Amino acid sequence: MSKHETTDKPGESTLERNDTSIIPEFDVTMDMIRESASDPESWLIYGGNHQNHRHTTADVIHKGNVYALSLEYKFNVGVDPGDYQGTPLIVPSRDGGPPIMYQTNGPDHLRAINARDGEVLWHWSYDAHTTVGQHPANRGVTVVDDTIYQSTVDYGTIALDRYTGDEKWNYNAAAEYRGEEADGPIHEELDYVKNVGFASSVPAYPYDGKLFKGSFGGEWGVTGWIDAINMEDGSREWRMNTTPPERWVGDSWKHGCGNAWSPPALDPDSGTVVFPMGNPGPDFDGSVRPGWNQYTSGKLALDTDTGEPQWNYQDVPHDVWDYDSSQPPFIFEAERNGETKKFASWAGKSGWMYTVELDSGRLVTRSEAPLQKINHFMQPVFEDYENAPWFTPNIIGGTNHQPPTYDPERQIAVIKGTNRPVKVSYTNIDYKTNELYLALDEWALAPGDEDIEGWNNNKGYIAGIDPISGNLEWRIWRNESPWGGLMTTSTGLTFAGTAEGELLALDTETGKELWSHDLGPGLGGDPVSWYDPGTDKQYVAIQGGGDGTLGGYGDNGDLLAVFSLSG
Amino acid sequence: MEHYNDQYIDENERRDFLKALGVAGSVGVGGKFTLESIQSATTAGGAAELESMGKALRQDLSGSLTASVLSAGSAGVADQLDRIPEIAAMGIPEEVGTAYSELAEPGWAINEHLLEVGFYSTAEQHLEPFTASHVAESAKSVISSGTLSGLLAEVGFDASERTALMMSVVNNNAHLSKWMPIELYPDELTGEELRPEFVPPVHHRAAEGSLHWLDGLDNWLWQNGVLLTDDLVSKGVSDIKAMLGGLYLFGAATEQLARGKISDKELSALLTAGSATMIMGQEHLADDMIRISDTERAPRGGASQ
Repeated sequence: MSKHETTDKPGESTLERNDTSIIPEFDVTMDMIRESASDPESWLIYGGNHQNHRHTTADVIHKGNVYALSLEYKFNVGVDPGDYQGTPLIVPSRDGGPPIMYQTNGPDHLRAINARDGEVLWHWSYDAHTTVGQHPANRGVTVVDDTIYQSTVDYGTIALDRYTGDEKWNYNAAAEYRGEEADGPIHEELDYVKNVGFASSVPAYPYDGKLFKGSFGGEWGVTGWIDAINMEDGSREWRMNTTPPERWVGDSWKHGCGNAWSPPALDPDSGTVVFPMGNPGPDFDGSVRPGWNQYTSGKLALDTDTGEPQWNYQDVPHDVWDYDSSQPPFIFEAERNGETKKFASWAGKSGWMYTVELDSGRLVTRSEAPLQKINHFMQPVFEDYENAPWFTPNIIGGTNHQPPTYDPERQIAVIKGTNRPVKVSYTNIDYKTNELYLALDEWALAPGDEDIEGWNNNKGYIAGIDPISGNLEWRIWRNESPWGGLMTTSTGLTFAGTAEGELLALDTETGKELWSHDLGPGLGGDPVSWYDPGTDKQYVAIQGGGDGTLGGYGDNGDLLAVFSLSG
Repeated sequence: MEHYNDQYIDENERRDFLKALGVAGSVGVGGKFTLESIQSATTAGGAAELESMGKALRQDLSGSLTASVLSAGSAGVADQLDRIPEIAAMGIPEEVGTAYSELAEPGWAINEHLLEVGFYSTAEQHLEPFTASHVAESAKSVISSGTLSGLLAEVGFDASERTALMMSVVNNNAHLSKWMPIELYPDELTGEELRPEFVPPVHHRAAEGSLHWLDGLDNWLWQNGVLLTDDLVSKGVSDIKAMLGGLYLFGAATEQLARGKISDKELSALLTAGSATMIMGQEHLADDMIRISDTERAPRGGASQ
């Protein structure tokens, strides 16, 4: 460990720094980020571009040679059990030097890595001094100019020098809550156990000098918010309360949740940022929060300048099934009815893909269901678990946060999800500080061999959907629910990890499996790709930790694997 | 949940309703009937309890309610109920307008006044929660007196609608009972850290929840035109009418309380019936028009797409 520049923050950070001289010093400009979708040499933002396409233009790997894709290196990251649901960023090489990978895993680990060989150049980690349970996800970082912005489980966003790991500033979003200043470093109502992915630390989204970042804690009665943070100094530019009191009955908004715990998509042309919105609270007892429960379980579009809402589309108004709309949306341009327009699409936990007009939020398509719908929208039973019916989508969702990919050339989105029935019985609950606020009595996921009408015993799927027509173009059933995100290539491939530990390459147009490699642990990470002109190779990276206790997402591990193919 | 719309009610539901009211033997079981046809056979039971609740409520609220505000609000709700045929004809708005939110405006005035005087807290304190017996006794009271039929008839509910509305409340008492006052939550959920103050009183939830649903419909219907069918919208309009009907009963009860023109028993029963109707109306609205399955939705790729 070396001495390093730190900032005033609730917890304590550690920096292990090796030889960082190979990190080329140049600014990752907003123009580079804006154009990253067309740059085959980089992956500069969580979703691949502001619009979250997760689509690389690196074209060395194609359908005809993917069979030859081979493991370049892999290593155990070192935190086991940990959480490996993230998207590594790739800053491209300069002057023959290696590209630099910025990798995260939970809880609160960030590494700068030589992307050619896996050498760790510096490793920053953070003890938040808060109770951390199992698998607190960290799903990625943000890079702008010479700075890395890391989210932490205690609601912080820390700016670090991307060459050295030294800290520049910390923004503590939990120092103020519902207009109250915290007595200590963290407001008491935000100091709950951070666990099971509920405390997902997602990357802030950069645009126009600001970082956009939502809250989490939807199972803990936390009132949601979305912040805009000044990139230069970490000050707050605006905060948007996502449970507006005037839209909720009485004070029910105070624990109405409505968190934005997944990253948004952003349209740089219009300055619109579209956030995924989580469940209302308590999850299963709607009687204490009547009405629409605005802005929960849907998408919320905001003006990036002011934070003013532009539109809100609720997948499931007054949700009582924990149907967050947690999947990050993607924004795209397409022709519909003879007119070219911009749209936002996503697949919610409710188990359909929704496509709305970006400028209005008006629904144009709700897709065919990619999973089997069983007793969908049947009211949960009250304290009567024995007689509770099986239903899907289950409370993990028809999809969850797993970031989708969109192939703009083929107009196909590819998603992953769960096809496993659940039984739920709910009960009364009252809010107590730092206790779960679910109103859940009993619940169980269907064992794989359960004979349930309408269920084919497959617990998961990967599916290709046309977001304009809503047609389910193809679907692969999986024995286990696949976690993690997906990536398409301009050459017509889709990469996806599975809970069984395989990295798959599929034909984007048909879903046909063209290649696979068994890595062992369940792959809950998001694949990324880049071309390195210094080696004339295209690389594909993915992480895996067998993440999650809710559905069994494979064997545990702490893996970072990188594959390559020469040009 | 069982639906109150007359065309969806089957013989078993009719039988359950009559049994709950204790008049199954007086009417051909399962046969068609109206509230008026069973009025004379319905015996108001539980009068003492209803009176006691109403008396306590009256004492606590004495002088605080302003009749003119409530009267204007109720008249406004009646005017909005007159617009229901117009709303039904319009269905899905072509632009985001105010046709649906206007339905709620007079109700907001009632709600604001009741909040100002602490009515909802007092009502929750003195009125029984929605137990099966309280719901049934309240129903018996307002049916046997003819009060309910009279008020609903004033604002455009025909005999069939009135009957179906009350059947929905009585037959869904198990569902209504889940809308509990916070004080009745199990003992293990109480303690020093308990923070119940953010859960509104149950009658407040019933009324203001309905108003919020109405307020959001202009936008939601416009947004979801590609999913909606005439049948879905028709059901939804019935639910909207039910919420407004419940609000009218509630407003009438409070107005008459302000004027000293309602008995203690009728006050308890009418407030209970009004709240329960608003609760069931909003629950049905969500089921009927908001959460749309693949079998209910308009065809994908239809004319509007």
